[in-house]
Amino acid sequence: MRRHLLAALLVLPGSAGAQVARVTLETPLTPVTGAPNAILPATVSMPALPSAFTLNAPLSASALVTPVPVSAAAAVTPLATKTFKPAAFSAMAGIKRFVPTSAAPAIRPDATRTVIESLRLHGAESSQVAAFKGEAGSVAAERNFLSAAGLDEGGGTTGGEPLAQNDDGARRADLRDRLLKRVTLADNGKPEEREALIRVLEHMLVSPTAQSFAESFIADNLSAVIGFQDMPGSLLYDQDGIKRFSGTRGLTGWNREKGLAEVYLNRNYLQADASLFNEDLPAILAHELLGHGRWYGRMGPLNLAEGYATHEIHEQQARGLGWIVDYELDRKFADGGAWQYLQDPGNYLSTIRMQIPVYATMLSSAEMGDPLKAYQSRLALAAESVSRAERNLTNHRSWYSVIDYFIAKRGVKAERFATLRAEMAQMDEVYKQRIEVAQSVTATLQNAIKFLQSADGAQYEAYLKQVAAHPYMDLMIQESDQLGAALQQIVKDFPPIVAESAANASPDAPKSDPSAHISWAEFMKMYEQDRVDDRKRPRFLRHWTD
Amino acid sequence: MSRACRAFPTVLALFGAFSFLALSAPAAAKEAVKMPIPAQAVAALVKFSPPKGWSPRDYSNAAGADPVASFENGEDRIVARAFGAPGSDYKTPADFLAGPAALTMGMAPTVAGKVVVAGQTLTLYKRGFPINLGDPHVASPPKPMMGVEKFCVLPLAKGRFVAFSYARSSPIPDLEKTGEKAWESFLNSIKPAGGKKKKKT
Repeated sequence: MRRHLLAALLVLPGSAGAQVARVTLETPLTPVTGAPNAILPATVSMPALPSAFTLNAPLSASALVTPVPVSAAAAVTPLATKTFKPAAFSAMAGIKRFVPTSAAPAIRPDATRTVIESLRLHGAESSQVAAFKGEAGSVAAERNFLSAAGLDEGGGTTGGEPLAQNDDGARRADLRDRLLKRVTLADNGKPEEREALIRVLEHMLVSPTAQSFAESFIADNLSAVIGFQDMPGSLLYDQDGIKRFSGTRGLTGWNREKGLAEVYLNRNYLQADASLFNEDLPAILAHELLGHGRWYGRMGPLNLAEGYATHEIHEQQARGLGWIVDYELDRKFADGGAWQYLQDPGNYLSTIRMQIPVYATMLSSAEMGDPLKAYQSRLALAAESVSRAERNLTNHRSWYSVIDYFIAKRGVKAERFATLRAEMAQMDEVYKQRIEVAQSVTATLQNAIKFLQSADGAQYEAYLKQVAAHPYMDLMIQESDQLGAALQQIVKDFPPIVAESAANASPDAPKSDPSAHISWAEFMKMYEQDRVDDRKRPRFLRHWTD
Repeated sequence: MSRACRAFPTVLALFGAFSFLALSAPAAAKEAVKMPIPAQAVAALVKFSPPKGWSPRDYSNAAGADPVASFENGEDRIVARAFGAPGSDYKTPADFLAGPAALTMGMAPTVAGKVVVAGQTLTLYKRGFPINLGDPHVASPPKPMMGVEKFCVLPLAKGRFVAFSYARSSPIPDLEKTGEKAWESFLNSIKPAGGKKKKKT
């Protein structure tokens, strides 16, 4: 099923998507991890939405990052071709050629700050954050220090309570109203959807950084439409008593005819557990509307939308913004990817590039100068990924025979391996999925290379070179870097509230029934001891070969 | 953050810097125009023998201030990350140990023992990290699968320090401990790149 979906995604956009005049960013290629206990029918009745958001107060009173302002800039020369073959680029699925436009975005005079002015403002706001921390965040700071100092004892920090916030409801209401003059609510004629959209918008604006980026959105006179949408393949399911859903959470496209960004949120948010609506969705909206929608709005009229969607930083910028907003709201990350990024930012993109086909075709500014070379280089890495995933699966499965041996020859009860077998089965699926994904990455790159070697490809290369040289791209990268640095800083300054899932996921987390189930550490010892004992046996009685 | 990961063949050429052999001059001269090559920047602080047969890669964080040299083999990854330079994400070892790179999704790492590196006895830490998260547009699983990382921090002169780590991107250990053995050999091979050793504080 998953393979068929994948194949359909790679093939369909070229034909079906050709009618769609927008750039889409999402790709529902990722396997759903964690088997749902039960798939609920799509007709589950909508629960009553909370009357007010109940999330914790945000961390700071001021934005961590000041959005990078833009000045009027020249449009990129449009492509001459009208029948672009987007099947080669799943990231650009369903794109028609852009309509030529020479219209630069209208920018209010007060929005044309220079970069250095922006940095100065950012610096000033950073000091406000520091002052706030000193006054209200001393407990958290102390915990942070004690956590560092107490590492030798292996003590874990569970973070502190969310810090107090200077809550200016009237100012936020004003900002909401001004933002709603630029953002149309696509409520499908359903009052409950309209109400939900306003609530999530209001909740997002509790974040100071979201406020700052919303002001930027307004100052640039950008427009967008937001609404809930049924996402193909998204299913509600119940896990541990919480109603969740699989599939894409949100997506953003650029509607070139209307000159606005279209932001769609998964309608299952309205039917899933209220905690997802409250804790997850505000950050998703920030990611989509203030991350993607804002830059689409700036770049779309300049014929840069497709280049934007091809640039590898466009997702990182939006993600960084969403993570910061999420953290400001409750000192937790709903998205584990934030931790993946924070542990080693420079490794993040290269990691996901080989895990998700659409990312395999995204390019850095330098690579946009020679995309063919970049793709050919990645193709070699993708081929290696396939063989590596196959090797990993083979190695992984070698454990099964060892478990069987201990059950059959060493009298260990099979039930004691239940936990290990369950983990192994899960990992087995992961490896199989990785092989499929690596093969898809390979196919995607092969198609991309084929396209670039065509006549249209040559024009597209010329387009990408113009895009890479456009000043807006550098501004977006600059903003992304600022967001990444701010994300690191806020997590350092304000220790996170550890989610139960993280505690459970700790490598030293206690097993649910340690007396009955063998852990990996125990099993390793059993295996190693048995090998030692085996060497003492007569050669013809030995089980293991050295 | 520097996002540039150089073309693979170039990286292969550059990683000669880690094998105590002279770096190929033409390749280095071509790349090192403005910024120091991350692998060379790490090698300027510490010398070590790269795991044999593992795939090398280098890049940097903090706009080039924090160079990284990594080696991968299957699910295993050994990394040397240098910090403490101006503009670094982590100014001190304590800063690093309290920071997100050392946490298990917000929880402090646990102590996994002691290890001698370059003549210094260091604390070996252990932490978990989420794996197999998939498409960022899709919700993370509520209980993500976790890999395991062991790491230690080697203080050097002038406020610099290097975090060495061995990560396995699977909750399931390697039956033959290939990565563990490579990690031990790697740690044993580490030496400061010239200069005097700093006393343990």
